[in-house]
Parts: sequence; C-alpha cells; structure tokens
Amino acid sequence: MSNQEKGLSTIYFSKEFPPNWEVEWKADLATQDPFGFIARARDSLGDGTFYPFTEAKSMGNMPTGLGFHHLFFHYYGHQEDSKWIRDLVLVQPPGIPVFIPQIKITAPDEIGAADHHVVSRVEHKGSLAQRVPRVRLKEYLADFEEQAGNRLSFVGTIDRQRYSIFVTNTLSGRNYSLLADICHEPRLSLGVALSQIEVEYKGISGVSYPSRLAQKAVLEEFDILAAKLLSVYESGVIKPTSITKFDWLVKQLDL
Amino acid sequence: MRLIELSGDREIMPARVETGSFFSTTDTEKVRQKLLELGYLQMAYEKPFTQTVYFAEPSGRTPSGGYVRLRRYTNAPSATVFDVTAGGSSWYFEGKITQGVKERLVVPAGVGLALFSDPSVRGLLKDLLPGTYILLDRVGSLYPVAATQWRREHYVLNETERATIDSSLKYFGFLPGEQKGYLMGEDSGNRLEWKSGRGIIPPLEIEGVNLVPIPPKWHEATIRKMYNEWIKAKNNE
Repeated sequence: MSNQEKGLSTIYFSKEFPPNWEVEWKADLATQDPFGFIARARDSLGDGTFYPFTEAKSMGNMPTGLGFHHLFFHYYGHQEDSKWIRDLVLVQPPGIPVFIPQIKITAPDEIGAADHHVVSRVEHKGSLAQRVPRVRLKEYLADFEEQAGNRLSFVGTIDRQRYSIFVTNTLSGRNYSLLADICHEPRLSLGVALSQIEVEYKGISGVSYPSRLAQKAVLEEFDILAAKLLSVYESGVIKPTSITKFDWLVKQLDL
Repeated sequence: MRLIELSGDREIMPARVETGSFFSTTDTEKVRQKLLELGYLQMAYEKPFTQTVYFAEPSGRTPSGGYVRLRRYTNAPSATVFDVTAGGSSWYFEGKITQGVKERLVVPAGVGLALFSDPSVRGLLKDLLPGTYILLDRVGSLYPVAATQWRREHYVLNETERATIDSSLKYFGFLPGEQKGYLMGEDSGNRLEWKSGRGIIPPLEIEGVNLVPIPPKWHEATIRKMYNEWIKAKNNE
C-alpha cells in the first residue's frame, strides 16, 4: 500500500500531539440539559449547520455513535497559600469498588493555546491494569503521598453523567469529540449541578505526526468550531469558561 | 437493522422541584417581561420544538410503572399532519422506569416503531435498556396513539434556578394502524414551568396574568381524554 493509500484509508488514525496530550475548549451549558443539547447538536451537524463539521460515524476503524458514561471522580489535593491544588483523581464506575488513577498536569503553553481559549495539558490516565481495589486504596494513597511529597487531602467527589458524539472536519479530516455533561457532588443538594460542554481534539484520519504546524492548525480549527457553536447558540445556551470541575467543587464545598 | 447505531444510556435526572402553570397566550409577553425583570436570561435552541409520540395496545392499555415513548427535537414543526416516518431530526426511544431515572436509545423511526409493535424485536433492549425492557415485556404490540408538540423557550437565573415557557402546544391523534397523526387539538394557553435545584420555589404572581396551576398527571389525563373523544368522533364519521 502506498503512503497516499495509507493516508486515505480510514483504518489509519493519527494524533498530532504527543501521547497523553489533551487539548480542549469548554463552555458552561446554561440549560443544564446535556442530552437535549447533544440531541439537537447531532441533528444540526447532520443538516449542515456546522459545515465543514459533521458527526463522525467512525474514528479510524472504530464505529461511533451517541455515547453515555456515568462515572464518579474522587478528587485529592493539597493547599498552597490557601489555594487548593489538584494532585490526583480516582475514577470509579458506579457500584464497582475499584478506582482508576488519573493525573492531569498543565503543561507549559508552548503552542499559544491560551490565545485560542483552549486548554492544553498532559493527562496520565491509569489503565484497567493499574486499577486500585478499594481494599488497597489506603496503601495506594500513602505511596502516592510519599512520591509526591505532599500530604493528600480528600477534596470531594464529582458524579458525572456525560453524553458524547464525535465530530469530523470534512475538509481537514481532523476529529473532535463534542461532550455535554452534568455533575453533582453527592454531599450537596442534588439540584446543585455543574453542566458544561467540551470540544476535545481526538486525532486526524490518515497518517500524520506531531508537529508545530499541525498543532497550530488544530488550534485554528478550535476557533472555527467554537465560533460556529457560539453563533448557533448565540442566545446564551453556552458560554465559554475556564472553570474546571475541581475549581467548581472547591467553590461549592466552600473550602 | 444495524445494532451499531444503537447506543443505550441510563440517565439519573437531577432532583429538582418543579411547578407548572398555564396562562393565556395573550399574556405571553407579560410573563416573558416578568422573568426578564427577575433577572432571568432568555435563551432558545436552534431546534426549539419538542415532539413526543405515545403508544398503547389496541385496547388502550399502556405499560404500567413507567412510560415508553419516542421523542425528538426539531425546527420543522408539524402543522396538521404528524408523520413519524418523515425524515429530519433523529428519534430517541425513551423509557422512564422510576422517578428520576430515564433510559434512552437513538433509533431510526422504523426501528423505534418496530420496538413498540413487534414484541419479538424487544430482546434487543434487554442489555441496552434493561428497565425499559421489563416495562415493555408486560405488554403486547403497541401502536402510536397520540403525539404532542410544543415550542420551548429557556430562562436561566443561575446554576440552580430555571424556567421554561412552552407555546404552540398541539396534540395529534393516530387512527389504528397508521403512522401518521392528525391534529386533534391545540391549547389555548401556554405553559410556564419553574425548576429549582434548591428545593424552594417562591410563589409567582404576575400582575394581570391568571396563572392556573397544572395538577399532577394533568398531561397524561388530558391526552387520554382528548384522544378518546377524537377517536370516538372519527369512528362515528
């Protein structure tokens, strides 16, 4: 198979950022109805409202559709100058006594992501092989504290229900996920919720490799997609934000 | 039927206090102004119409202990004829099993109708929507009987307080065995709903507007009554 054939084959799917790099744009969802938002967005992507973006039916050779995930995120951190710093997130599927560690590190913004209102960071997600059973949790946290050199405190839990679809730019072949979620802290009143949408870069159909040029192009595509979203929802259904779920948690718990 | 297009979810709805009132369509501007005065921001989706199709056995029996329906969001409202199979926005097969828990599935219209009418196809739901599967397992073949349509405006005060105004409320009835519904009634009033995540909803009074509280189960009872009268009249034609 020639390079061109490889490039055109949808079984090839490449990332244009280094491994574990997460690049995303997000907004608050004022109506707090993630399903209603995603259901309408799917149809609008299908009728050309977001051209050249459309719903992706596959990512590489993996068929995709409307996704739904319900997970608990247990946040651990420490205080520095009365500000809470997030150190560790333990991800737990509901009803299962197993935790998957996740660490997110804000990387130096060498590509100018902030100018595009985009967050770019390194995310180390544990795999199923690294899962921590509940009986080993205390031991795991002690090991983590020792390695990090910080005393860890449990901050709170986010109960997140999230709908997702994949979106492709039909002109560039780049793919993104469009996510809408609703989050609660189980200790707070159930009606106190954070609802956000996120656009996350996933990769390009075909063969490519990490490069500054490609990364700049990705940021420009974020600008185009964000402008389209804000234009379609100009009445204020969505509003760009930089508030993280951890920030919201700390504020709501009045820590 | 391609299973890959089916994707089930089980959403636990936020615990919110909700209250609803009807008001005359002529007072809509007064209600809007009141919400804006209170600091609510008005917003609307690009597909502001919600269409919902309800199903029943030919005897009129429906699944007990919850509801199962088809729903979609559109910017192309039906005027006098409601065609379930017409293209456009996607249909979502929805089951509500207990208070606050909804199960949903994206379905092409044909698959959605088959899941209702053909009990042998329902096995597909066993893993995807387990609660809805149990609901449907209690009934035989179901057919579309009625559909509703309204246009929704959203009003948001803050993270926990929201309101909606539903207007252009229409009801459609289906003749037995048909996939097209016909206009059987329109509401002369619009609907105001308040939703609070804090558990408290202050009483709302708007000068010159008669807000009539919507009793619990009003919606189901009204559709049932309207349909029974409509189908009786059709049978006598």
